[in-house]
Amino acid sequence: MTSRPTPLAFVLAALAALALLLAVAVDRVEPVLAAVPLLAALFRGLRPMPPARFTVAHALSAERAAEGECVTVTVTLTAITALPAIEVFYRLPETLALASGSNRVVLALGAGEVAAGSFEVRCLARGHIRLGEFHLRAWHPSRLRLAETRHDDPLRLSVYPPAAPIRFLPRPLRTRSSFGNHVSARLGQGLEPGDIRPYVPGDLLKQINWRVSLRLGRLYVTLFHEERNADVVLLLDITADVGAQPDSSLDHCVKAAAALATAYLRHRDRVGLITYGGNVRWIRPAAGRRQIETLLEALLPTSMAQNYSFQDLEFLPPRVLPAGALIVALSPLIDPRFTRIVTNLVDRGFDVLLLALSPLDLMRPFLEGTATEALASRLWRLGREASLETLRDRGLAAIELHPGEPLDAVLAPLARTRRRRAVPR
Amino acid sequence: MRTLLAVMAALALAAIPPWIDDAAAVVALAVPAGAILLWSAVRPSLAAAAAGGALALAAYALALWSSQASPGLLDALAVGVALVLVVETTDFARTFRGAEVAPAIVAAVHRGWAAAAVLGAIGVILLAGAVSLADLGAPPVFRPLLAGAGALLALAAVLAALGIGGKGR
Repeated sequence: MTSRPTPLAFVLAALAALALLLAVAVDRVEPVLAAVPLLAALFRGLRPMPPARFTVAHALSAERAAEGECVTVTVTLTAITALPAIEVFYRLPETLALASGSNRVVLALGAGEVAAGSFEVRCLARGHIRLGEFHLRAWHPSRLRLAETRHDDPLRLSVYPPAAPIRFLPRPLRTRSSFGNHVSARLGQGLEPGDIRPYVPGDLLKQINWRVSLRLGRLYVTLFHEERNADVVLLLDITADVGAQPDSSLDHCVKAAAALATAYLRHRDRVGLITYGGNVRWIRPAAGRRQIETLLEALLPTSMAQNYSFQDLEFLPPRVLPAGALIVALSPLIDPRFTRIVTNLVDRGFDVLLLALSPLDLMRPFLEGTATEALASRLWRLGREASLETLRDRGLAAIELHPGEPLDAVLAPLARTRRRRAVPR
Repeated sequence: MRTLLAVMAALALAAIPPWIDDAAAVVALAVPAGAILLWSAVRPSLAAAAAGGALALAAYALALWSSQASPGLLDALAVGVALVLVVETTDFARTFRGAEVAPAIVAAVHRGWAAAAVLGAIGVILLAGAVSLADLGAPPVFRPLLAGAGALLALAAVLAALGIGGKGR
């Protein structure tokens, strides 16, 4: 490490020089005498800088965390030579905030001594965060000289979007043939009664509805709705992003996607993901806990894609976009390309549910509140309402989602309206 | 504690020049010097401390020049020590703002300030004695030579302290 004088040394020297100059100017000895304590303070810096040799290491309490959670960082400093004053600064990225403790400490260590300190950081935004940038300063005891160095020991912290629990999941209109938790339109074996019909040979005795049979004088059986799983594809719009991280429209859409993916996968459905930013990237629908990991990992680095290309979803193979899948589209509805994609899917017969995030609330902090801005906001809102109404007229279930609004409250009305129709076997 | 020390030093630096001579020009320099030094102590800002210190020194020199009073050892000592304290405390507060400083470091810094004050006082007394001896013994023709030697010595001390041209370990 190379040492250099500090600003303190320059200021002391400049003031001493000024005092000497003034002494000559006014032809008095007192300013020279006043310069003596300043020179004496500078004199302390004449002692040679002690060599600073040390090792530094750090550890995280967890490699994965959800947004808003805290992670403890432990820093260990081992002094090889005596360190009269060493400053350790652990740089934090913008997406982490100090929750408790200090990431900058100044301490003194004897040769061979080990010091360990910890502090808590709060995860503010999703993403893969690289930690481990140390800035170290070895101070001369007089603070007139210092030596600086930087040490990198990278560790990765993955911050996942929080998956809020959803009680009222929109039911897919069409289900698959595998067992699951959704009450399907098909009648057969299940728990929820669907229809009553006259007994035919081959029906099980336990299916006989005795109350109806006694009233009508002949045997009737109760048919039940089958419980099946479904294919759900989350379609995420990354063509536009409004607001600043971690409160941008894309952040809210990613949080909603994470919550929906977790909830549907817990219902034993197969869930896939398509991110649309002019070009298309996808993850094939699959079920199980591993798929939760895969989807959340895919959602972590999601950011706005800036391009002007237009790629339709027609080329996607059926394994990515299965027929009969429920498509949940999440978008701030700013880019018309995404609206085209969604309407194309409706025209192709897909069951599409659009969650349109309102970007207006996210814009509000950046507005100055002038009359022109208020008028523009009103016009924008009216335009959005009109375009949502047009989409609804084309048979699309479109709901407006406001930032901060619980997803459960927004989806609850859909759980009531999207009822199945009984289909005999 | 450190802010209080800096505030007291700033007040002393602002009060000494008008105490020597209460001319309007001296007061006009000493008052802004005190205000800037107080602001630098509270803020804390080393640049403001340097500017305030320079103004205070100018006010002190102006007061000495306009009063033509006999040489005052204690005034000079107080101005020098107050300047060191105000600059050192401000720099400490500025450098380690927001950092967790170990008590051992704080104690060492306090010891350093006390050592600088004591060294300064001893230096002032020695220099004042040397000046008196030179004033009595040396013929007037040697005075510029003595002043030149003193200035060269001070310059060499400053360069050595700053370590210009040399690398530390």
